[in-house]
Amino acid sequence: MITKRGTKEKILDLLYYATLIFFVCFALFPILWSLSNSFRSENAEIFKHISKLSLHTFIPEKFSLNSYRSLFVDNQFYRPLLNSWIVAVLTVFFGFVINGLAGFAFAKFKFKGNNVLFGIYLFSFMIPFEMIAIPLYKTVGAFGILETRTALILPMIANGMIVFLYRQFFQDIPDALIESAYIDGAGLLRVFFQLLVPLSKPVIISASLMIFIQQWDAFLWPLVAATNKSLKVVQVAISEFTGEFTVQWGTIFAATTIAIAIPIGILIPLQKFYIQGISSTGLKE
Amino acid sequence: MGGIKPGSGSRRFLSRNYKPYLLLLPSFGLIAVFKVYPILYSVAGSFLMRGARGVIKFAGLKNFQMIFTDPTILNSIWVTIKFNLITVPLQIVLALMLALMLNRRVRFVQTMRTLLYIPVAINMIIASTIWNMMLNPSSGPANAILGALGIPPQPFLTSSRQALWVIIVICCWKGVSYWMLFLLAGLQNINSSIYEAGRIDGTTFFTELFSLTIPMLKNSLVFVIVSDTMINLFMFIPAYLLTGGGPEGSTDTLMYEAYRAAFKFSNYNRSYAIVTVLMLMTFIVIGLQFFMLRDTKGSGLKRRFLKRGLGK
Repeated sequence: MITKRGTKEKILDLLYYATLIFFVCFALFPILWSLSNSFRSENAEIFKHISKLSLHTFIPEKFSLNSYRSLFVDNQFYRPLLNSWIVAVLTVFFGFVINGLAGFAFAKFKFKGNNVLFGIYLFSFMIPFEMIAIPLYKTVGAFGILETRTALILPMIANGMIVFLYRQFFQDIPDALIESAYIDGAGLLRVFFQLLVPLSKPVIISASLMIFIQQWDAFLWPLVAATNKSLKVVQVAISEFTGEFTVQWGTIFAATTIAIAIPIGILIPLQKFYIQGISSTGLKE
Repeated sequence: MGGIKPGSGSRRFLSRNYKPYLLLLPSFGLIAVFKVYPILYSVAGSFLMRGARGVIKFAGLKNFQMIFTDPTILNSIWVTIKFNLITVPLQIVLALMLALMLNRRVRFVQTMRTLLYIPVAINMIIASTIWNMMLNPSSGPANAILGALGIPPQPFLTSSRQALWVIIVICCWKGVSYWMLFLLAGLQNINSSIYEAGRIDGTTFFTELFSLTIPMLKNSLVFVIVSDTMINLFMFIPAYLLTGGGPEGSTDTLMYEAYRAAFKFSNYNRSYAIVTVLMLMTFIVIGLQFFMLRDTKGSGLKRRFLKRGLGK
């Protein structure tokens, strides 16, 4: 491409960047707008600048943490925050062990029914959660664990997509390595934890990120399965603000900012792993 | 699949026992109880109903009969179909367009990618909450911006003619970058030497797109289209959070009706019947999509490109 660039190319280039910048602005504006509003000193200030567009429609007059104070002190937002963390982290941990073991079985063993079983796992990851939410409520109710954290964690641990990810990764680990350890007398659990796990950091990070995000974003299930105030998670708490405090926009902005900052803070530095994870589930087979 | 191919003896050695089943047991148990069983339960439940004195009895197709004669549900079916017919193609076309644009090696492209990934980290609740405030007819910035452009204020979610469109915009805002991620990964997997052959032949952009890029991208596209359809058929959050299905039922999706039947009116059998209808719709749509996207062994052009591109 060393040819002299004509006017046509220049116009196309301009059009290319203009379109991209338009989409970037469209994607980021709502986030930046809510971020900037969360630092306003009082609710009245949010509404004051709306009707007449000026710089202060987008940027606060005075930087203030009032909204955050109100969010944590008056609305005790630390509780749903803590609940969401507990639920997500426990699901990530159990999800790693249980899906990892299943991935190990599918990647390295030949056994009767392995295709049918794998088909069931794949099917389970294709169905959207909403499809099962209502009957799941009855199922979990039958175990008597509604209104507990277990109800939020247990049904979300086994995940066909994560099993699939682990299987893909473990398949590339040479059989000979596993066999020699196995022949040396290590049990399968030891082979898994001491041999496979240290070799599989990238896939463990991808899988954990995916489970974390899935639990962090969960809404319909916690909405119905954990209505108790002490179990409320972040998304449910935010959805309640929308109904309750129609004028307390500052609080909502502060809450959404925190609820966005946590996954973004985790995803941006690890985006390589996350993208690897979700794209390899979309590419293979 | 890379790596070392397993020797023929190895798998037989590892297979001669019950151990793989033990490894699978915990996950299989959880999937069976919390994923497979609820599906069967709701299909079965849609054929049952609560009779006199709360006794559950077989109802045959009565629940479905009730659903298909209920104007609320018929409206919901229409809303769900309309919502999907607009949202899915719109999201896919925009996602593909952005993926193609970001698949070039030009200046700032990496920065643009990272910036466009950001909405991926934002879920439907947050997206709905923020957009709800932006589109507030009296105090949101959307009408302020429109006003500055000389356009009269719009009612957005409070109008039965605009509400569904607003929800479509929110879903696109949240969804496009997610699907773009998959398509971009698919594009990057295409061997670029294939294109070089085409460049020499002097193909136009659109010939290249339709006879080369899209066929090569088929796996990713099928995955994205099918997953996107499933998510949108079961769309629930905007109706729950923003409109309550209104105004005048204009955003009353089927999943929201299923939620209401179960958790507002405790009529679970009606709710199961609605979910079963949704499941059937899903299977029909996905069946159709697979049929339309089935591999037609590639067009002649694609094969020619493949041969030339890779033959070098």
